[in-house]
Amino acid sequence: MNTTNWLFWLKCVAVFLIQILLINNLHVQLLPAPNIYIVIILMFPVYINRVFAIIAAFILGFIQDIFTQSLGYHAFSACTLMYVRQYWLIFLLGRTIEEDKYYNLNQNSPAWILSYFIPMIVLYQVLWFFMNNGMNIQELGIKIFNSFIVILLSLFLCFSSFVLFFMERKTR
Amino acid sequence: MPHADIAHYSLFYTVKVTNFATATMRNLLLLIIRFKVTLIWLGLSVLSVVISVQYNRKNNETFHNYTSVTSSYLENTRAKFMKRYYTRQENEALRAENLRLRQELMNKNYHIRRLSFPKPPDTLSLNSDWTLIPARVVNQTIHKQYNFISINAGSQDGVAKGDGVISAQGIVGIVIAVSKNYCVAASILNKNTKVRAKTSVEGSVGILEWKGDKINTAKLNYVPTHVLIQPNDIVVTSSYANIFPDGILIGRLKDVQKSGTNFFDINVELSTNFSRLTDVYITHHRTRGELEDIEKRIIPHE
Repeated sequence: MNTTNWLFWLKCVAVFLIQILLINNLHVQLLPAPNIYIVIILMFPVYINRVFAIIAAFILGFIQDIFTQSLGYHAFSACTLMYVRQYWLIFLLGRTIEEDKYYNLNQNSPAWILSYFIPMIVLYQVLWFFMNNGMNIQELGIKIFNSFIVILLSLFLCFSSFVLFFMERKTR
Repeated sequence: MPHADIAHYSLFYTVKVTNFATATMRNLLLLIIRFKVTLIWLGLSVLSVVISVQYNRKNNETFHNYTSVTSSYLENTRAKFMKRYYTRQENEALRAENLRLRQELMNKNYHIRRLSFPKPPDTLSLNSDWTLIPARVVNQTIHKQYNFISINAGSQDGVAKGDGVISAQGIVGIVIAVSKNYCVAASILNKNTKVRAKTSVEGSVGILEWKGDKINTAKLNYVPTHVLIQPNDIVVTSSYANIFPDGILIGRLKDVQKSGTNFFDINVELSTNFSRLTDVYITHHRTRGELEDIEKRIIPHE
């Protein structure tokens, strides 16, 4: 329980397959696809070297880019999210976790996870929004409304996939 | 030990580093090791931004909107100054000639008659949706894979994004960015430009694309193999999507081959000489924007 096992990586692969095979193909009218694979970046083991973690996030985002025909958008957002995650975790936990080799994010309560997820997913979608639209301000109101809905959908999907896949009870 | 191995040196002689070069290198190495995460993040973000500008058509156009329009303004200013410099010499020559002619005139006692021609009616804008806007090429490239042409007509003259650009010899490109006084067009010699073209005999519509190899050759794709076509057929534009009017010359079919697919493999010899392009016309359709809006509503994401 103190280290991630092979089942964790299998779950990650399953979530990513759900993203690229199912969710990217749900063409809801005028809405960009919500991102469920952010949960992999957010639940990525803390003890892994951050350089490798950022490179892994970049590769994940790049694959997602290939499947959504938008090269560079998700890659940028994903690696930035992985970079920022560390500081947000330190802020939430009030201590450095780099030295805590056996800290496992899966043990946390759903309420804590929700407070951890919300700003991160908002940040991801805002970064993606700016990469997608740039300085183009035509139909800005509709775009902001759409991205608000996408944020809610992504949050719902990520949280439910955490509850379904990643959550572990503490054993006492 | 000027060329000592840094790791070895720092392991065994940590206290006193007298060589300045070695100390600087060691500090640099320590700096890189300390900020390795931030450096990797910065590198990957810059890489992804570069990828997104390079491979996404929308971002590429935005980038060119900000860079090319400013650079074409500078080019035009430079051309103005150079013109002023050259006109001085030209004025001298003209003045000399004028003097000679006046002297001749005085000698022959010749009467000068001022002629005023009536303006011819603008036949294109009278009864049709198409407007033709005359303009000049300010700046252009032909040696790149993605070539652009800067033109000195802008939104003030009635140019809109998506208008076609033609010359006397044939088609030139499509306008992708417009400012007040200038516009930038993606040339036919740009791998992103796609133009609906048709053969003049059968009238079957295909898509003209440039593969980035030869400057006077483009490919005509998606012409099905059951259509009757021959080499040396003329290729003209189609008015689909209202970018170009019907029947503007593109070139002629050079070699036609049947590949294994349902479509022909056709090379088109372009009629426009891009290396000496000066005067162009921009073809503007009155209701094209409306058509684009309604198509956008059906196809939300490209």
